[in-house]
Amino acid sequence: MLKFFLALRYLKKRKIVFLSIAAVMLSTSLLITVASLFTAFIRAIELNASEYLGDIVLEPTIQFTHYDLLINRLNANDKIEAATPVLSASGLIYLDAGNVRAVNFWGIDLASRCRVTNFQDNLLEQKKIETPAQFKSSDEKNIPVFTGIALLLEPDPKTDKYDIAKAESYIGKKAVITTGTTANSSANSTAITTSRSSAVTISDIVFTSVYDIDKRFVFIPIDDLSVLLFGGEENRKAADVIHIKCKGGINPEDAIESVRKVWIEFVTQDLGWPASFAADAQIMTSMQKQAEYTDELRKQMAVLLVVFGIISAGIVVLIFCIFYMIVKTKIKDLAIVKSIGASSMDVISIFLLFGLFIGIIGATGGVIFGYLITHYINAIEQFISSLFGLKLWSSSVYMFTKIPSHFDWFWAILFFAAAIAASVLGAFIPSLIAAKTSPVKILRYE
Amino acid sequence: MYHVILPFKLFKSNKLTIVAVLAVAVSVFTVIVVMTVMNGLTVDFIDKNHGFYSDCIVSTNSLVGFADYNDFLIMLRSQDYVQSATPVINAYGLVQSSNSGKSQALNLMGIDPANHFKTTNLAESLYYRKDNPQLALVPSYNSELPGCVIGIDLIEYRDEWGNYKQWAFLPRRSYEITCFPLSPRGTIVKTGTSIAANTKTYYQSDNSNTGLAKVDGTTVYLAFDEIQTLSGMNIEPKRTSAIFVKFKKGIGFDRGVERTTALWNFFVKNKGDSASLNLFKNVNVQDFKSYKRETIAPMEKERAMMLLLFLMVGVITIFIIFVIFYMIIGRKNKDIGILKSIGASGLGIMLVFLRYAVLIGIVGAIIGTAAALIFLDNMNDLEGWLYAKFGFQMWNREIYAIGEIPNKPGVALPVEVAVSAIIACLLGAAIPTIRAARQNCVDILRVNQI
Repeated sequence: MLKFFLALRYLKKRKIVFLSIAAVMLSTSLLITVASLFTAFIRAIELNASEYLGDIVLEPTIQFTHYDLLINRLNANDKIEAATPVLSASGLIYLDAGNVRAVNFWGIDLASRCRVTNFQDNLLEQKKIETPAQFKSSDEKNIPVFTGIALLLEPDPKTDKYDIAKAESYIGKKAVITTGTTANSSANSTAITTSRSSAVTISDIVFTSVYDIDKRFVFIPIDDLSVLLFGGEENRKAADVIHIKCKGGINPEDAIESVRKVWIEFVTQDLGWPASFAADAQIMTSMQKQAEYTDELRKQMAVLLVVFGIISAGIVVLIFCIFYMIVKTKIKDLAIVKSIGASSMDVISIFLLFGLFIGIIGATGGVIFGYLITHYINAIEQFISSLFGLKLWSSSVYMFTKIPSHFDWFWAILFFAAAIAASVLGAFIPSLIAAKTSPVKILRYE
Repeated sequence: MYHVILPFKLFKSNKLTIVAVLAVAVSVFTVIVVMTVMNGLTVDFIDKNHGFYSDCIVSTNSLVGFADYNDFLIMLRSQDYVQSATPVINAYGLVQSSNSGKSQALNLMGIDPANHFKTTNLAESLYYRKDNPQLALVPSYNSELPGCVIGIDLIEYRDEWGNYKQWAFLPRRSYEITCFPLSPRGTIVKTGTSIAANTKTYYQSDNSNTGLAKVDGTTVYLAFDEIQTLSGMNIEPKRTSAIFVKFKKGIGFDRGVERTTALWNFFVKNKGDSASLNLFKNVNVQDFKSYKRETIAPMEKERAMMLLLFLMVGVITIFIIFVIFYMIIGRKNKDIGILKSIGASGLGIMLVFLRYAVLIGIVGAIIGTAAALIFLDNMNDLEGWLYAKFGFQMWNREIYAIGEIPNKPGVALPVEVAVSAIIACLLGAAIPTIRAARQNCVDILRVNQI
């Protein structure tokens, strides 16, 4: 009881203790904030991948035909909710006077895509309606397309927000696309020839909040893209990727083998290819597809945490110094405590308890402070931006329109425990010095 | 004399000095290492951009370009501050490899080899024509064919050390390049009654490794005249997208850009009756940093934020020194009383402890700096060893376009950090020192205090 009482008394009476509490709080919040924001960023990438690509991605090494048969086979599987084909190509789009962009075309089947991903939620106009999204064109001759929002306009450099009204004004406008397919070949290979172009109508705008997607992609009905690429070959049904959504409760990693089996059956039975061709196909979860990048981000986070950990180690030294100072100034009190029967262990316990209190208070403050910073990071960023005119976060650099701000409790608990351990560690040597105090030596001058 | 001898005596005899010196040394070490790497990456990136884009760029964002550029080039080249100037066309094109059949939508850059290599460092990025860059766009296997230089990341993989496997002889690769031809009004030029894009086959004449990932992974270089024809910029009035300008040595960016802006305004004013006046409206004159601000500014911002974060290290050092001095002075109370009783002034006492603080700062800074320099010197070897032994690489070179980790701190950074460490020690020691100087020897040496 005496130990507890004395530890609490030191905590209340010594003003310099607040310095150590503040130091623990600051370093804990710094580490928690860095780890939370980094983890949230990595999670956002993974989450975005599964929202955009479905749960599983089937990507053969070469383009294949009759995707409809494969989709039927996949849909019949008890682990698969839905599957959708993608035919991709690079191209150019002419939007208006002097405005040409390099883009990636994705030929999609809109109905199945909306079942596999939340694609409709990303459409500026059609997300508001209950009926299924569709490609619409007022002119039947024109192909209806969806374009990414950043393709049409850049976000405001100060606020990083898009002018949605201006973006919506592009809906219904005409544009021209080319996939580079040569229309007339010339005998002279060094002469200029012409490539086939097509008039398109912008049917809706895609706003995924991921800058790179919004900047580079144009979505077009898969059959129309097929005609653009391969001419009038009907029923070719070509695709180069299949995106798959698993049924509820099914772990995508567990469904990979089923997908592989379906793929091999399709390739050997429907396409008549040798099974070795089928084995080359890459079948992985959308999260695994991002693994190379996210692993690298995790490594950068670890390096950053080590650097900040070294800085925080300075705080252990600071606590050590403060405790050392307290021990030295309280040496007479300790001698009295010992003279009335307290053991060395009791004296050690007083200071370790004292360190523990500082750790708990500082670390709790750090968790709260870290939570507030993480939770309100976008508001803080906006405040700094409006105060100093300095835009710290911009989607064109850091991919997302908002800073991913999920508070990570794993890191919070880890650093909470580490902060307490560091505080107790900082108090340990001074407590040993205090324990060695001889009451006779100290009090004889009195 | 006592205030010269006593600081050394305190430094030698006090065990807490070791803690203080270590705290300063660790802070100095951390700041020098992290800032060297961050600075190195940023400065290297800025230098590469500078080399690629020259000093000053007269440009328009519109793909239509601007006309009468030859007249302005003549004016520019006659200026005493201009070393060289060259026209550049930036366009988007679809590039299809005839070998693989794969196509990519990329940036096309039209260059005039005769002037471009005098104005920028692009020649240094070439592999096969490095010694004779004027022939960069001439395929060595057939000089009659139209050549193109391909960004290295488009054709070769970077290994885990950031190196590329280069062929001993230039491989014969051809690419079909497609462009929308735009009229001076920005509309697509019609072929007969239909809208079509221009396509032409080019043959690889070299590859370019500028060290700028975005450039090397997205850019194909063609002859200026070729791309002018492909993109429709050869239709009268003939147009360009940009003019790169290199200033003579000794001409500052600001001064050079100011003079070029004035010259451009003068040029536009004299072209008042030109039919292409509309095309001049969107033309900007900027230095390379402003021209590439969307890529350079975030790096500089990150460096500044890191610097701010490391100010915290300085603050912690100040607190540690403060607490240590508070303790030392508390324990040396009686010594201070005796010194004062034999005539030492408050200033003298202050000098003793401030010199002691400077001594801690100097020794800590020397140890920290020396450790940082040794670490930096061996950092790349250490990373190599870690990779060979544990597969750990600080930055995966297959993903990040960097070579070795920057490890040259220069002279200014260690000196600045060391001086800052000494100042931090002085700041930390200031309050306890003032308290010591204010102490009254009568109060301290009173019998009941002893």
